[in-house]
Amino acid sequence: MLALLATAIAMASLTWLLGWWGIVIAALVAGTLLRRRGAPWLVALSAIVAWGALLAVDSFGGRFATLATLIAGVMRVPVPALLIVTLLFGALLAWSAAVVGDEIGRRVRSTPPSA
Amino acid sequence: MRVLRLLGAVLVLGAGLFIGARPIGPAPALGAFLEPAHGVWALARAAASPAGLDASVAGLREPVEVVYDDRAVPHIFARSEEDAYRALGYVVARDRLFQLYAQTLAASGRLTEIGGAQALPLDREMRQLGLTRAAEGIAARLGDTSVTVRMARAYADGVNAYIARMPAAELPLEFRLLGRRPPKWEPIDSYFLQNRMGWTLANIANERDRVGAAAKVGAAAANALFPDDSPIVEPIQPNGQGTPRFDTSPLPPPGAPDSASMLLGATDAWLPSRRRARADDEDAPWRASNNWAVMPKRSATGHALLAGDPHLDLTLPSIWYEAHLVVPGRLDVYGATIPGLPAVVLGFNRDVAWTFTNTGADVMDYYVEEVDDDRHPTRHRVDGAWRPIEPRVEVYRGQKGQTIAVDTVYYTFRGPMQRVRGRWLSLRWTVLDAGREAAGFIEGARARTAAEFEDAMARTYRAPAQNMLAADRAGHIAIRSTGRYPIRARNGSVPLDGTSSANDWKSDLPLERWPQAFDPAQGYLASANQQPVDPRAVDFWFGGSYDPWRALRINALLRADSAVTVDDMRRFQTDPGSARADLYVPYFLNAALRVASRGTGPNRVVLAEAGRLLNRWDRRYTASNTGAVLFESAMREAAMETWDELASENGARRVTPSSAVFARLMHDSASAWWDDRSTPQVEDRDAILASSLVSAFLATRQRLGTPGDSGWRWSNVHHVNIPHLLRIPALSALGMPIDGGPGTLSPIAIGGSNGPSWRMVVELGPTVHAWTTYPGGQSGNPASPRYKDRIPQWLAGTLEAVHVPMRASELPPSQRSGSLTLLPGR
Repeated sequence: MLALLATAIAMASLTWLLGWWGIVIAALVAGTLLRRRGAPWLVALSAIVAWGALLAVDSFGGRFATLATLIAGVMRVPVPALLIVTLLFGALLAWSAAVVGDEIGRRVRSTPPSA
Repeated sequence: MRVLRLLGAVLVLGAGLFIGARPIGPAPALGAFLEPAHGVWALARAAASPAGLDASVAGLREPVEVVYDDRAVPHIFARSEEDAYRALGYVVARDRLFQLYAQTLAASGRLTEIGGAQALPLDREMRQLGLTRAAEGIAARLGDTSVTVRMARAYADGVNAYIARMPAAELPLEFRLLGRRPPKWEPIDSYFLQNRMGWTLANIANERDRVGAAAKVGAAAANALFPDDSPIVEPIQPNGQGTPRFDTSPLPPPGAPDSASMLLGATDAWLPSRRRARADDEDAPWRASNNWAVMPKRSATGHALLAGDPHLDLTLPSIWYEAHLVVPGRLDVYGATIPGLPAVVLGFNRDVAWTFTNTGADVMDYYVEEVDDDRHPTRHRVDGAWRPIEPRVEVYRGQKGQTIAVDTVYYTFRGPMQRVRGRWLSLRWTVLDAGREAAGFIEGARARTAAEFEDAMARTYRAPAQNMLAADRAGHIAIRSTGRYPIRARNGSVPLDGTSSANDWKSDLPLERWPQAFDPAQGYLASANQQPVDPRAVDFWFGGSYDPWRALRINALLRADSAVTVDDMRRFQTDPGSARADLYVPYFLNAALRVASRGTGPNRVVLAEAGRLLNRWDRRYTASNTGAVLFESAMREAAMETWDELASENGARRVTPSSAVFARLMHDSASAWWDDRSTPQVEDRDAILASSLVSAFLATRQRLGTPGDSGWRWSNVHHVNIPHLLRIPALSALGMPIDGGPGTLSPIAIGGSNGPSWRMVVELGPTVHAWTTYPGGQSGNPASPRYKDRIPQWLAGTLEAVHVPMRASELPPSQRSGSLTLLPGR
């Protein structure tokens, strides 16, 4: 739980600072550092939590539903689909980057110090 | 297994990075678009007015305080005019940044940069008319110290200051969809926009319609069908008659086609968009603007009153933006500005209010040129001597900066040339010589009396010519058709021989001969795009195209009311009555009776039923009215059957005489024009009107159901559509029922997207009070509650009282929605 929250906070912060690349960088690092079974899925869930929290911040002004309806209308997709695509996009990026990070971590850790 | 997972992850990551970073087809790059901190979702946070923000603006000399009122109108308090216009540029950019960009592309012939090759015809029209070259000419011609240039630069400073500090969350939705960033705003962009207004309002050249008709029915008939003077005259400059004058003389019958007009009819090639508009919209006078003012002796409160509603293409965001600029002791102007123009165009100050309608004079002439080389002309002959031709290469760029077309546009000293059906035609147009219009608005805003305002405008304003109405606190009212009217050796009703300088413009009509009136005896002034001056009273040819119906209606309303109130002024703006219907309905009813009594002709039962329905109609175009639909259908049928001589072999008609000319024909019941050439018998007026009524009734019943039922409501066939600038339906307001129709003061035209773009009523008492609205809202952000919040009141014909504080502190917190302090910066 702590790892999920910490990863989500890191992802939200880096997204705020760097834009959407932030989630990829955070996931890569998390994938490298987290040594547990199913870590990429935890990272993906963290991405959903992170971007979900940022969407919640966006909704504070009270215009989120209007905006979602407008964008869905422009893109000609249902509103829920648009939200799912947003969160899924972040989650897929995070999962795939975490798997790559995990592999990098394994290789780094398995390399003998003398090499 | 691990390898497979890794391979899968690499593939997903690669694909995610690719679609995240690159647009695919029309879809934007998804990464930056969907990301919730700065992407499109962040626009939800940017929907509110700024609250206590500070921002630095390069060039600003002293701090400027901006307070937004509860209608999201910015009140700008500055210490110099240049700072005020800098701040105006800033607040307009904050609310309407994409509009600034889109309008500039449209006005400078660069729409292909966002629309691709599809937009090429529109861009070509702008550039081949010479509008982009003319804007560059303004920039080169006006010195650094001219008011126009100084204010345009100050405005650009403001726009660019906002772009420079714009938080990522505020990047407008449209830029995100297009995958673009706002470019730097240049002062020339304001001149492009100014010329665009000329293209919108001053490309009236009756010769196009006249020669098109002459090619079908001969010159004599064509001249009568597309006359220089309206057959119904109640001019802007009162002629003392107190009633309209109708020309009841017979129209010359259709004659043999005029072969010379075949070539000249091709002047349509200059304005393809207008050709399309005419084909779509038979009754061009549906385009409309109104203004009127009453003197204290005719107002209930004893104060001068002024009302104005210019009609333009309706878009979201609106063409207008409401703002208030205060520079103590120097400027205190409130009103409507066009995003991109450093000026309040329509509005009022503490002493004077003003509003415009389009004059519609013909200020565009064509010349048939003789050139040295038909394919690549370098010289053209005038009075036996060769004069140089200037080529200008126009490059059209696509969405990725690639070249998608290259044209060479040739210029004579008169203006741009086009090769039309094997001949070179050049164009002379007042809009191409204009340039100091913004200075007129800036100086006019400082006027203390109606006369001062008129004179300030007359000093600098040239095109598009406008009927400028003003009223002041001392009770004076004035109107002047301000603009440049070229004096020609002969009138510009046909394309002229370019080889003779005798056909060139000689000079301009002097100010004292412009149509104008000050404090008229009748106690009021009204303009509604009618003929500005009684042709019997002047010996000058204004040319143009005029619509009398709205003028008849507003004059009738004002004549009947000797104690006009502010609410009357508001009510008149959306009055559903129609002088056009009042004139035509009796003709239809009489025709129905006469034809029925003949015992021949169309279905007598249907004719009687149609006549009964029309007789019950109150001649009002309210949304719930069930009579207007039959009348309008009958009018269309009657015009089609009557003007069959103007149809081509395939039945399509390029030009249609106005309903005012049709009214003239009504007086001649046996005119040859009434005969339907497709039948063996010879029809007269009553036969055509009766058969039109029957056809209209049958067609309407088939389309809308039982006569008189809710299916026949005017709102079922008459809507207003306010499209987004990019024509995206989800961002538009479409299919809204509204009062008004042909000939009423508030018509909706051109596919439902042209109508009253701004409504204002001003009472000039000891203190000025004003009420306004427009179809849209202050914000260009579609997620903002201010994006289209004014549309409901606009549809209902109501207005909102405006706040006009003299100081920021006069606007109490309860009436504020935001604030902003602009500080001098680098």
